[in-house]
Amino acid sequence: MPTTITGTSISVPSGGITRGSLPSGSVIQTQYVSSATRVTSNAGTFTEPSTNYRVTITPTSTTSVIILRYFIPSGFVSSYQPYYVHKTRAFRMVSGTKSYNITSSGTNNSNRPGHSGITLRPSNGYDGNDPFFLAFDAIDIPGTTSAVTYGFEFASGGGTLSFGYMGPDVAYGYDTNVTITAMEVAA
Amino acid sequence: MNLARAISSLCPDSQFVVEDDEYDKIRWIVQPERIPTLEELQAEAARLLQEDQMNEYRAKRRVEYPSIGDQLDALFHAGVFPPEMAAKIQEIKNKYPKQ
Repeated sequence: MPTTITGTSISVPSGGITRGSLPSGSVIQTQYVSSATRVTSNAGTFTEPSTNYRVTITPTSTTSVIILRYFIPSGFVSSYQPYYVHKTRAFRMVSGTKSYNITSSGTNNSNRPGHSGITLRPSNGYDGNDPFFLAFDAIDIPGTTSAVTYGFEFASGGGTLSFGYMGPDVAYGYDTNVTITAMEVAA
Repeated sequence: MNLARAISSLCPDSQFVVEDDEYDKIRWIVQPERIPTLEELQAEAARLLQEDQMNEYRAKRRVEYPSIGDQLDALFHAGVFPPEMAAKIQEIKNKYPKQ
């Protein structure tokens, strides 16, 4: 017996709702991380800021879709940073192996990476008092019922960046957790 | 303390990740020839902070100055640009006249 909605009544199969009885688009589960870890880094190659910036979800079906939401409050620790290109990309990790081919990724083209993520390029200079928010959505179909961990890496185009706050001695801005949400949706 | 800034100042060629501004949570991506001690970083962070305080007037002035474009425009209209530069600017103004 499938789950049905009639007027204001919801009929649930005996034994509870199973993954197979949920209509397409139903949210099966949501996992999130809200990390109080504060990071500063000038890494010029893709680097994971902190393993605390990870969320793990175990899909109930190999066809499930995972909707990811990244919210990464950031700042510039160094002064004035014009024209630097800062890149951020999501990763998927299954059984300890990272991969970057999130389903919503595009295609690499010269210096334009096709990963799921976001790129920032301040055109008129930023300094330590200027906040910016790395926020992006990604969609993944990992095709597994094993635990899947999602996180992100970044590469600074120049200067030092901060995550989760504006840097240790900046008077303005914010101190806000990095949050990542993973939502399993029935295909 | 601002460990990241102190590291950048003392080891400009290094690349690193610092968690929670703690010395024990520094990860070196490109390690410097010699890793500075906590005391050295503390001293450098304090020196940089003092330098910032001495230069605070610069930041205050910067946000209140007219834009560089406005300053240059004033110089153009005052007729103090070299003739070649003034001619180039005038040529563009003529090309796109005010409506």
